[in-house]
Amino acid sequence: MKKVIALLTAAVLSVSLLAGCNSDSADSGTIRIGFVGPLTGDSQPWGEAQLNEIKLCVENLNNNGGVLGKEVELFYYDNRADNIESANAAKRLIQEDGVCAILGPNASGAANAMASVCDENSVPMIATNATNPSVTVDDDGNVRPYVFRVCLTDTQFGESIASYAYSEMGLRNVAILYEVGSDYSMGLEQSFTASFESLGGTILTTEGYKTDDVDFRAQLSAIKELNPDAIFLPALYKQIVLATNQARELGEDAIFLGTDSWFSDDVLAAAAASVEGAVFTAAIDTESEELADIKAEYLDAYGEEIDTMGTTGYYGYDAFMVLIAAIEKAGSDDPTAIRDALEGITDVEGCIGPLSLDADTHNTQRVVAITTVENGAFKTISLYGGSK
Amino acid sequence: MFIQQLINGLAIGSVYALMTVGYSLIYSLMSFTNFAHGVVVTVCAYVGYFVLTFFITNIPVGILVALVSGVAVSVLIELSTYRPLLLRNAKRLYLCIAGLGLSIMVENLIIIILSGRFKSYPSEVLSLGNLTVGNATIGIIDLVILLVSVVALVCLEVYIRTSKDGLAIRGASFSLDHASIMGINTDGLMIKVFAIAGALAGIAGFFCGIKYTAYPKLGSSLTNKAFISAVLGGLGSLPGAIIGSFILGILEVLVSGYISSTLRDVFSFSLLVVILLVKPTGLLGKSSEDKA
Repeated sequence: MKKVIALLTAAVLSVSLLAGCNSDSADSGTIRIGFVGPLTGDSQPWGEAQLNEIKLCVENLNNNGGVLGKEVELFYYDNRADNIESANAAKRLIQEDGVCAILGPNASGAANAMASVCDENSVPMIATNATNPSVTVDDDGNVRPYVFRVCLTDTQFGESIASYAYSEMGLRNVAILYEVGSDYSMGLEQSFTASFESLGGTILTTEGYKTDDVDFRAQLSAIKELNPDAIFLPALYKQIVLATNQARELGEDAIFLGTDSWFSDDVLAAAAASVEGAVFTAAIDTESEELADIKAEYLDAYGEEIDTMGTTGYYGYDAFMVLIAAIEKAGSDDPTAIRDALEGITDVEGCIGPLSLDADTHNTQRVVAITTVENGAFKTISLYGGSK
Repeated sequence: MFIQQLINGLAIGSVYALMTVGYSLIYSLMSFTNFAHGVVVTVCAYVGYFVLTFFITNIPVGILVALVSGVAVSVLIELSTYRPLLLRNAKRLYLCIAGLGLSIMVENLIIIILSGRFKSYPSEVLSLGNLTVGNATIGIIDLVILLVSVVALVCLEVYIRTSKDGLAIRGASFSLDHASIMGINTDGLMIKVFAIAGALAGIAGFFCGIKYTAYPKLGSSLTNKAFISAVLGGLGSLPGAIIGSFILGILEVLVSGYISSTLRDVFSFSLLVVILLVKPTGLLGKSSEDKA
């Protein structure tokens, strides 16, 4: 037993020594930043586009002299969209690689897991597409000091689609099918329900499914029985494809309402007929001319479009720009100084227009692009001003 | 709505049945749960996708190719993973663990080679249309699945009841060692059983691919369901496996439709616990000696 304890102590000591060495080397000539996102698994397309875009940003910045006269060095890890992996990746970035800030992740559950690590170690993180309100402001209403985001929250998305559906589309009776156990899907379900009901609409039923489910016909049959005007489906692309196809198979002809996750070419490829006429909130107006340079550069570097699988690439760009602006404002790569600079940062040149982070909530304001599917293609139909 | 839910349940149950029977068959002979069974389903879903997308858009051809690849993959798993362990007289539990390991490995290999994105079968296959009876709708593809499942399962039952191999399988399921003493080539028999289980899993994979797209976790997400069905019907009993699958499929949709979709799995797993407490052998199972 003594031997075991001695061995363990030795192991712990040597690990902490190693960790010490690594964080010392953070004082070298580069500014180290980290990225965490899904590079394998179901969510891989989103993580990949984001990482690719951030790599391009780093390259461009370094070619133009870097920031504070130093080059930026990017360290990144795969979190497989898993919460525990995300926390481990964040620890590794902070303790072994000695980064001064972390970009990502794109999912709310993973962001929540990373948020505690970042707060504990006093290193700021800028979540890209993590939309659950609790990512930046915890359930007790306290803002998490080191956690920021460049996307809208579920509350903002849910309110936008609910109010558009009620006021502009004239829908009154909506059924919801959402993923039980997904912070993203649950957050949207709650905010949609709250806004739609407060406007005077009726939620006929709220059906759930579990993460690995592929058959939704039982829930859809129950929904069909109630004859809704529309079905709100805050889901990921695979479930969107399967659920919309199965609904049409059952003879359900209600309009589908969705959120930013709907913006994916895979949805069009595998369910074009089923999602025709669907209306959802896209995180960014991808038809905007301001995006032309980013699109061209990405296509040139990787041989594919930046937004075939959604808008995460643009958010990678925005998160990076906000971080660099904060490092410049702080005048150093000290994590706490960067955090102070991030809080209340204003007018950073994002991919569409200026970005600011609210000092009280660490959230941002953006315009939501209401998008529809017309003749098998996405089309922006309206820009909806960001509500708070 | 009840009729519609019943149809949904039958459609889901028939897919479970194809998978569960393979499970039960291997269990009845070798007394261990083949956790690598899901691998065959996943691989065949991808094979079906590639054949239909790049070579020929024809469902019967797809079924045939999936069936043959199911046999190949399943026999390969037996020869490469289980056979070496059996030769070393490994405990049955180690076989289970090896199977589990293999299934995780293949899942990750698929992610690396083919990416984690799902592959959707060509739209010609998906848009076969529906039949509407009264208020209920049933997809043509569901009818095809139900029909093919029933035919496959009846063929299997006839084979096991009437053929010489069937007799050997039935004998060996009582005791593999005694069967071997009586002059049955048990090594050959195991390959045959894995081939049969693989054929059914291949068909199941093809149908799941059509209905649910091909994706890396397809097999493992169905493995739990097949396992519950098998225990419910009685591990090792083929009719039990079929009955268990349909009971589970129908129970799931009824709970989702009438009680709460979020409680579905609570009911399924509670049923498993209750069955194990009240009748550990399952509905049609015979013995419940200590097996892995």
